[in-house]
Amino acid sequence: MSKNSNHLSGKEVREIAKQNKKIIKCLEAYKNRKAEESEYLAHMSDPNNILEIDNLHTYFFTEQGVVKAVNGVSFNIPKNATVGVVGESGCGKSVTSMSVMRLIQGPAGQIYAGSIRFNAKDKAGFEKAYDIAKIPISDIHKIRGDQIAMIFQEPMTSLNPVFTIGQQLDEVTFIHNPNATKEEAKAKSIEMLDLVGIAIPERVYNSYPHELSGGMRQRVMISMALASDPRLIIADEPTTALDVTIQAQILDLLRELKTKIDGSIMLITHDLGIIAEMADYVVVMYAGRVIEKGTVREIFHNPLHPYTIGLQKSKPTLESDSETLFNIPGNVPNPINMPNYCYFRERCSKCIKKCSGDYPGMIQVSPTHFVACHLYGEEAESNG
Amino acid sequence: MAEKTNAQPFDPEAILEVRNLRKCFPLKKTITGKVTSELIAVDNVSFKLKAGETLGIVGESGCGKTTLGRTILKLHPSSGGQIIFDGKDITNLKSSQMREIRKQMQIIFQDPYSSLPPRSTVGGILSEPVEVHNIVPKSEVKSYVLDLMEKCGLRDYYYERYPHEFSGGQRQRICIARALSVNPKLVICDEPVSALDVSIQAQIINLLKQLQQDMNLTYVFISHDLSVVKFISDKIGVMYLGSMVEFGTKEDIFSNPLHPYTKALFSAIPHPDPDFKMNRIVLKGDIPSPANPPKGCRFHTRCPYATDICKEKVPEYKDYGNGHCAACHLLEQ
Repeated sequence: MSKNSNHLSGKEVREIAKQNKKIIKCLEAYKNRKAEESEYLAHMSDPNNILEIDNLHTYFFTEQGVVKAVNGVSFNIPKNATVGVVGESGCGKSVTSMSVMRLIQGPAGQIYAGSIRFNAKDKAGFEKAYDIAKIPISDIHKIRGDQIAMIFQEPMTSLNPVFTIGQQLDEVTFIHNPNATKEEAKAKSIEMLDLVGIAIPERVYNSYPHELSGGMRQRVMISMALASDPRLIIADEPTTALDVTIQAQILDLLRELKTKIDGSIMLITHDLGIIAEMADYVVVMYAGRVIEKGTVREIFHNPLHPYTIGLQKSKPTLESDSETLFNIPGNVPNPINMPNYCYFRERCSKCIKKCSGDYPGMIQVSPTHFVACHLYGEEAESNG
Repeated sequence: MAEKTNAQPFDPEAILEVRNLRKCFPLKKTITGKVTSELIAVDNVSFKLKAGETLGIVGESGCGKTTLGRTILKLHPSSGGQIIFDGKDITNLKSSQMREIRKQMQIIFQDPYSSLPPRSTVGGILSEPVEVHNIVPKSEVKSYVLDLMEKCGLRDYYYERYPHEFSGGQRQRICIARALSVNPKLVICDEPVSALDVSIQAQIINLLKQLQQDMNLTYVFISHDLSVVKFISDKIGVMYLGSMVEFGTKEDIFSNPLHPYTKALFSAIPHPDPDFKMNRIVLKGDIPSPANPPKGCRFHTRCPYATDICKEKVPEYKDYGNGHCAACHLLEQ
């Protein structure tokens, strides 16, 4: 690391800003355009998937340069499955979920390339695939909050403090079903609160967020996500702000609900324990890319990428009795000006010559197991 | 054992002894300043800690673990009980007398982003305590600090840099170096790794362990993460709503947890193995407000085994052999 690697002169900053402005203008115009539905219809590559993320690139155009927060991410979410996305902070897992919801904060943040195909269900019950990345922002409410719902990390800040829980829950029903009467909305809200295991739903309906504990607020958030009968729930670190005993309650609830609502869950977390318990499929991300994906058993019993192995070893468990903890040296690389070679090279203990070359492509190990690492590419080549 | 603390002599082996420590925060005051209601944050906590040992304190948020740590350091004045540090009762010392002792007890805070002054360089942050406490002669301060930085895994050219240039893990290393700059005997680590990523967490925990061996430090390690506490501690105290519900050696607590809360806490941790099946005890409800704790045993509102006596009488904190203490009516039967 050179001493002034982060320093830019005023001239350079202006130059970057000028270039950014051009690209952002173009992308913003595309986002705000008016378009017919036929323009953003898509075709699912597998009808059993609810969501297919294909080579997604989400960039942030900052004055220091372009931050490639999500840099070519692809994975699928099958119907009725829980897909866990795991990685450390800054690896792009939240930005991926925000891209699916089209909640990336513009103008700096933009979906630059790639497609997000979502298998929506129209009012008549027929399936219809949309490309979320192409939907103009004025039409996104057809999907967002209606077919895909999100549970955020911080239940304390996600609820509006000046409205009662009831008012906030009713709003969801009114937006997605404008013909509903007040009584219908209230009945639906109370039913939802009951569904998430709140003991006295009528009382909670009339209370303000500050009157509830953290666990209760997260339950309200979950009930709000369920109010529109979504097909996919994105849970972005749903239990990070909660205590372990409350976390156990919420995880139990999510598992129960998945079978009740007959939907899929995309679970984003940094805790491998939660993933092992909840997920059917696991996607491991590092520095904006997917480095390994597979079923939960493949990832936990046969991890291949050195980062996945290191991550699992560096977590102290209740069973382990070793004296020192395994650790991955170094830090996550600077997201601006990422190198061309494998992003994990500097921290990797199994580095080989080939690692200085191009970024490794996805190598298929089994029908469901993929890894992006040169170590396995060689094996595959020599075997066949 | 708890009643006659004042008569008991100090244990010469213990570097830190806490006897019936209480800390209350006033909630309401009358116009004359009389306290009408108070929040009992730490209630009757007692333990002993030998030099070179690590005490892990676990509990959920609001259980008083941070307040306990700060009260031991006398960052909050205590409301009752005794704190004996290195054979000396420090409970009622004046702040001028505390200054000498502060050198020997330090704290590492949870959030490395807000606990470093943004306008001083790393060199400035680390030399200030050394100069204030006259640890080494003025001319040797810089070499002393550089030496310390090396011990904590910081490169020497970081000396001129500012905290915002560092990542969370490196900032926590600076915080650790700052705490160790005055050669303390006791370091209170208040959730030092909970703001960090898993791979960085492991680096910091290994560093803390290494430094403990090199400098013969005693740690009070406060955390809500049981697996981290198990890794670093020799003794463990489990707190719930201000009181210590179980205390013992690591082996005792993990192989034979006595209190139902400890058992529930262990079973609540997600296990990183998809094929692992555990009989999970899921506790119902939330932690009651510490301003209005339940009568009798404080855990009875969530305890799956609660009986009538639990609602009436506060269970006694008793030793069940080998210093393994717990407070539960079930164990007395």
